[in-house]
Amino acid sequence: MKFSYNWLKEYLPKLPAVQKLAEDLTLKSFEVEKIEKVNSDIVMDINLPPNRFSDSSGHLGLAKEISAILDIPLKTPTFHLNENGKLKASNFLQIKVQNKNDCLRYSSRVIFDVKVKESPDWLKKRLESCGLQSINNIVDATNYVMLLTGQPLHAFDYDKLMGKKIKALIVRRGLSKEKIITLDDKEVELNENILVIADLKNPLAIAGIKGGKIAEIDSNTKRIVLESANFDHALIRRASQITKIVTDASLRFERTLSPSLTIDALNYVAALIQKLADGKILKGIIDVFPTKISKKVLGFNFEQFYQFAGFSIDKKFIEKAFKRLGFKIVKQTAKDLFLEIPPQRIDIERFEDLTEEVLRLYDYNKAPAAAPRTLILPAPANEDIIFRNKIKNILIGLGVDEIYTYSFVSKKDLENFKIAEKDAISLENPISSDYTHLQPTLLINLTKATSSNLRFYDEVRIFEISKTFQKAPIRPYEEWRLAIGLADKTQPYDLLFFELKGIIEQLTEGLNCAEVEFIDIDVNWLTKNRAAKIIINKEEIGYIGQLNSRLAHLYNDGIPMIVAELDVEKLYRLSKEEYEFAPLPKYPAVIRDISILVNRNIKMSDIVNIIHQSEPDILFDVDLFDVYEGENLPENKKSLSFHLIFQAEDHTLTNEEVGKSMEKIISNLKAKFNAEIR
Amino acid sequence: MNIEEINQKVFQEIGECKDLQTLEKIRIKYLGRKGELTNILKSLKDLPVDQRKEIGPIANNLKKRIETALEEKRLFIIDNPELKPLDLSLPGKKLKRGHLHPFTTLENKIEEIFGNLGFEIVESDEVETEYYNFDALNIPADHPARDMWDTFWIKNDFQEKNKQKFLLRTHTSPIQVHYMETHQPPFRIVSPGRVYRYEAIDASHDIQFHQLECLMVDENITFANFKFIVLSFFQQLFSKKINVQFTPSYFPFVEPGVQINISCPRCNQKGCSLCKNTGWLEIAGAGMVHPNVFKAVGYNPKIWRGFAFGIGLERIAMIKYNIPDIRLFNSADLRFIKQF
Repeated sequence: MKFSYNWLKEYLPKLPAVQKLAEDLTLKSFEVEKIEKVNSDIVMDINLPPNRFSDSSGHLGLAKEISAILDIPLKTPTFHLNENGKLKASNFLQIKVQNKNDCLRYSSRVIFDVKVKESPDWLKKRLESCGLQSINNIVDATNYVMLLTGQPLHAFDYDKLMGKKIKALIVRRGLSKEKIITLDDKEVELNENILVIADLKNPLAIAGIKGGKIAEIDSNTKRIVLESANFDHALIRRASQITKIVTDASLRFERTLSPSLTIDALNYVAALIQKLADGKILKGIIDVFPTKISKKVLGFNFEQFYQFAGFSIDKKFIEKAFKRLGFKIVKQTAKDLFLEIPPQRIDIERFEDLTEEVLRLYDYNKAPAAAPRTLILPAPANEDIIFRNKIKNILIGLGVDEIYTYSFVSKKDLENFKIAEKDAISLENPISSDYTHLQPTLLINLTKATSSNLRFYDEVRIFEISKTFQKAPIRPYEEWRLAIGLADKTQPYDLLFFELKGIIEQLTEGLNCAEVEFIDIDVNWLTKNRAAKIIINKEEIGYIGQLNSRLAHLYNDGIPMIVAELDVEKLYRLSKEEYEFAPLPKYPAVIRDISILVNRNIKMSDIVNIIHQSEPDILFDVDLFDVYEGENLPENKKSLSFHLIFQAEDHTLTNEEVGKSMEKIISNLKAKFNAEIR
Repeated sequence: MNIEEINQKVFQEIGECKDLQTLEKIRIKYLGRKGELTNILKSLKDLPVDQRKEIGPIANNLKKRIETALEEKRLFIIDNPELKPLDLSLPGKKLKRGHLHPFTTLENKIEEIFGNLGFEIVESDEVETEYYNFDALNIPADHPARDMWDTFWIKNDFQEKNKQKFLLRTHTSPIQVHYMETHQPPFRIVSPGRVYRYEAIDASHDIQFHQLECLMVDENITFANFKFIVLSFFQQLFSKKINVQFTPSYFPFVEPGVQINISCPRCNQKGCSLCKNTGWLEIAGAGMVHPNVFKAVGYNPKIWRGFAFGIGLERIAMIKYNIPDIRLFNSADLRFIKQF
């Protein structure tokens, strides 16, 4: 909100230079965001908190605040208001408020015989400093007094109101199908959520937001009605959102103003119009104020303050601080102050609010720092975070880089990955068509990240741990997942699959999980015969596979990519915290190697199973060390070589024992797979 | 071989030998069970006495000299291995190593600091209800303060229509509400997490970033305690030399509400582009917990007091690691990540 330095200076003769003023305001009241020169004036852009609009959104209010924090004298402006003795305003105008909760106060004056003309230069300059345009002396006067007091004002052309002798203004809700043309010639459709000011027939203004064309002040206007009202903040806020009209008035009203502001502002503006437009002010204010506000008195206990602050401030300083703020001390004891809070200070409601006033006037930065006088116990560890970090550390050790991406995907992405749009959670107000849904899988953004990095790197190895979002009957379901993606232009991608498989095996081993199994599956976005689900302890924890060729072409220029996505919470449950020691072998192991030639389509895992089944007792481990296909071998054949490790718990194995086992194994392999022993 | 031949050959062989395996072979050749000298020594007993007296001492003496020479040579080989010189300026073997995202590194550091100060780390969901994101934090519907948090709303097309509107949390404060609803004070917690804002993306604003909020509630918490924890945290995170400044601010869930600024760690308040020559950086929003927040979770505000402060983690990372653009964090750009 813009404030003119020259204007403030009128009320604060001892106002320091603007730089110093801005520093002090920022340190004790409100942040000054910008200082700029406008003509011969300096304008401060101040970030006013919403609960201080009532007392500080006008220059006079801000001047009071400055006077309090700097402890400098305030010169309140004076005005002369001459009411015309003969005519009474109430004989010409009636105000009807239909619902007293919508309009807390409606104060009005009527002025006759005004001369609408251009505003004088001093007024134009003030408005310009604060970013408002000059229109005519009447409208400018209402804007000027709003900038002075913070109270929005409006003027209607009395002669344009319906009615003969006594005219009426009615504060009511809009009707459906009712319309209003606003001052800037826009047609706005009204409804029952929008408050309007109307005469007997037409809506004349959108209450608290914008005036209408019908009763507009023009160059022929002679008689005017002035409105200084207080409307319900929530109602104005909603109406402003519905009509999408934001004005200086609506911004103030929706932040809540005190109804105590209306009379002073009304008198100021009437006096100013009298001065600028030679008007005759009719006698009396028409003031509809059904629910009077009572005086607000709060107690301030010094001891309670010291306990809250943790240090003491001189009582004299505290008393003076309250006085400077205009808080009247109505009663005083040794321990307490009783303070009458000025009505425009709607932000002061309780003890804590008073402590804020004392602390900020004292300066927060003068407060000491003191260690809490409580026992600091070691905090319980957050196992989830520790576990995720463990995953991250294992993966970077395996050469995979960690990325972060957005949680959003586009409708187009979902289509590409063949995920039904209705299954994904969508945003009511997406920021762009790239980010319309919450990601149901990490795979989409992983693919995009791989693609963008392949522009700069031949090899990309990345992972992300993040949330996925699924629809569930009652509320969205969130799941921590881990996604890993590998792409490498420098090596055959068959190897890449086994690299990622190896990474997952290393990871699960590092997390102390039971052995992982990989079982072929069919998934939409993966290549057939190159996709497997990942299983630990019979529980499926994710999948691994090659992105299908269609997606690889859509996102990656056809560069193959191997991906995996795992459920982090399941992984956590399956990882054992404790390690168990197995006794070291007492008797030596015997290692025999075997090479077999089998058909290509036979799975290594089936062969290993048969080997184990053939010798359940003394075969300790089977270890594949070579796979070969190609030259010197018949077509459709592959050669597999294993180390077979034999060991017994209770004796040293003899050559004979091992030899017998080998025979069993070989004959089984021959029988089951038609294997040829090489 | 006779003794003379042995005497001539063995020392030459030992002299030329360069490794322990060859040395052992030499030992076996001469002194092994069937070694040349061993054979001579064994045959002594079959010789006439006078020859035995003549050859015996010579052979034994030779044996000793060979043993000594072998031992000396063994020590020489161990102490003076003959190695080809290496070009040590050749590059080391490239082992694969990944990089943690700088944000993870920072989060770990921050959580460690709070851990040392006795704070427990707490998390909750990123999709929140309007109640937890706003109402329970003293930001009722139609409150203009809601404009301080531009919000992404979730389309309500769930099977069961919800009364509550869902949204992407705009701050991590709802985590604290969930915690307070299920725990009794005293406690101290930090709640890190991803938050979302509906706003235009530029070099210093993103629609998705991370916050971390700290909350301490106890019977005797004071404003001075609040300052102490804030100061300890920022000094541990940046350096002992950091100054902290409090200025008044407004957040509906705290009273008094303050903004925390730190002295610019890059220029030490001499003025630079980072602090726009002000010497200060806005770094956190904070304050003493508003009594209405305690009421909403069923605590008696007459008994319990507390403070809270929230920081934007990307902003801290930008300051700490000199990162110019917030958009880099979610870019997944390895040219950025591999620097950390």
